[in-house]
Amino acid sequence: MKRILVGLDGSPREAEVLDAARALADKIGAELILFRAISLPTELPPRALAVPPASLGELLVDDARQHLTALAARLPESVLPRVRVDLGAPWAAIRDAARIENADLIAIGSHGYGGIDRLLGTTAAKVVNHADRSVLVIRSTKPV
Amino acid sequence: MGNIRRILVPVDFSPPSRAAVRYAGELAQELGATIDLLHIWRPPTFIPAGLMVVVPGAADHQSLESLAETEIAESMHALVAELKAERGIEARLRVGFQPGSPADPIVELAERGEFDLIVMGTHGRTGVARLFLGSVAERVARLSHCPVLIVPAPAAAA
Repeated sequence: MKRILVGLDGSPREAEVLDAARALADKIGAELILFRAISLPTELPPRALAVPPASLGELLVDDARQHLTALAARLPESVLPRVRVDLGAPWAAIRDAARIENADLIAIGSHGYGGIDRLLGTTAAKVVNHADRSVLVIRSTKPV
Repeated sequence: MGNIRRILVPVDFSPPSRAAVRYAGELAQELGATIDLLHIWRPPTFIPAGLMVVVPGAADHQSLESLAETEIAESMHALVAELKAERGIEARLRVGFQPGSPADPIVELAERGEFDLIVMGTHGRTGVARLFLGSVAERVARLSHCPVLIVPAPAAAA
């Protein structure tokens, strides 16, 4: 196991997923790819109303990439942190990114990749059932 | 997830669960962790007519249970021997006899036993029901408070 794709969601709970993945990477000498999937949100930031619809995806991807880059900057160099942002439904985007990056392990939170997933954990369930590689599911200790 | 010292590996002797045992062995060796193997045996709820008649609580049921017990013990000891030979790990054995989804006793034990990680295979032996109810692994991942590492079937592994 040498490369871990960490599925993050931009929520306050993502820190626990990243911590767990980092702790494991430290011990087994793996590298980390911080990943975020961007799907069409049900709530838009006010800034979004001022831009043409075509660049909305780009804007969200840019925001996510900036956020991930800031997280990656706090990681030790030993885990060779990289960031990746793709458009798509989180579970499918995570699965596909893991394939493209040839990750040995996917690390994800048990709940919280947007909207109702905070309650049901459907993203984690789908990744678990459809991934062709190992998946580490981390439950947040923070309330929903 | 701080230090991983104790790993719980639920097994049902399917190919993915054997893959999970090997994966856990590799991880335990790297992390210096211990392994507990757990099998939850569910009394069958359906047996074809003509094969045998089973009444819950009756003598036949008992014999079926003890038959299962012997088979499980043999399969478990084979896994322990494999871990010992390949990784030098002395795994502990746990067997539960319980109806219902194996996910619940797995999560319960993980919580009581202060395990740091659960490692298990993707698809258990629950067949078609998985499509409607979700796999055992999926349920464990949803309910468990400790991290759950799910290992795919060997054929699907990259």
